[in-house]
Amino acid sequence: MPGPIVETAEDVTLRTVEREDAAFIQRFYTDPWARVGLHATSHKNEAEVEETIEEEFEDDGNAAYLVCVDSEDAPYDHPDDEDTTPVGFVLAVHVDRDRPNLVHWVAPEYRGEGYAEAGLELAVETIFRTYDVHSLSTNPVDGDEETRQRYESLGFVHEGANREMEFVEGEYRDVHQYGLLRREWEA
Amino acid sequence: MPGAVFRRGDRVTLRTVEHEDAEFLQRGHNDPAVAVPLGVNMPENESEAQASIEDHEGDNLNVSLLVCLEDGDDPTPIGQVYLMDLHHTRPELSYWLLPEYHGNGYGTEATEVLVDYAFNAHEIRGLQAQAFAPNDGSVGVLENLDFEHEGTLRDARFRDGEYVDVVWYGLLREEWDDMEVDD
Repeated sequence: MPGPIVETAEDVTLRTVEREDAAFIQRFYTDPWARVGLHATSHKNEAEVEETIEEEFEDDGNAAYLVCVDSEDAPYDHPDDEDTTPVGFVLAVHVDRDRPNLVHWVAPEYRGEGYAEAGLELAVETIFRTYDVHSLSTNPVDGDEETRQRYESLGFVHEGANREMEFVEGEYRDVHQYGLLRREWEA
Repeated sequence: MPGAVFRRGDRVTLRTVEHEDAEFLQRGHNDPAVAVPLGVNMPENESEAQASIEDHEGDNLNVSLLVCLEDGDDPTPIGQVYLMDLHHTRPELSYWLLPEYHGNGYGTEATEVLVDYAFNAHEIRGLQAQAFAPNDGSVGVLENLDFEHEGTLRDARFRDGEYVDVVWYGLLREEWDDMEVDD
């Protein structure tokens, strides 16, 4: 179950990731396209994901947000089952350095509703407001066109592609490099 | 004093890093002419240099070697080369030479020996390297070895008082094979 609200937008909220959300986050590690973003080449069991939450998501150098769809009277505080539905997450790695890297994922059954776009936009806004970072980066894998378009529509600029950088779904694939400078976001 | 010869080029050797090389590595890691282009922004004392040598021992994913000249009875260490994350599809390489040895092609030669070792000894798809955009020497080494420029990350790192671009280079196995044939 997600924790309290960190940020709100019209359609989604960002809530804290709790250790008991491991079973939900575990599904990210069964997505071969998405998990590459965290350098995972294979799936993880729930205990491994709990450990990842403890070591990576809770690290002060990183910022993790659970993207949730709240009911109308959901509390800002700890919600009950009927108050909110986690649909995905956004993780920014190294918000303590010059250029944090973004990874995001939405569960397959919630795709096509605009939650990924809304959650990502809210997270980018939150990160630029909270941390004194100069820019953000992200590295979608070639073939994951939806993810690339999502970043492009937020203003991320294509800065290059590392050829055959990762082995995903039976092939060596390019990994794209995208960057968004603070001044571009604020413009 | 550097250890055994691991690989040999025409003029340079790559030798194992021994505990007593801490003082040499420490000099490189603290000299602004080396550290700033390399992205090292903290001082390193001798015991930290020693600890990082010890951390590498038994580490099967990273390779660190000293670049040496064989000009006397004992080898003279002039720099260091590394291979990082050998479990990745495209591991990353990195290198530095003390400033007084720049400009003689030693960097290119040492890196070429390292690249040959990487492709010959490990079942990797390719290699990659990154440099800060103003670092002409480092980019020159990569271009001499036919690495392809794959991207420029704008304003991606803070160093020497400003945000600078990071340039990415890559070399795939078949490109390295072609280079071997050309030689």
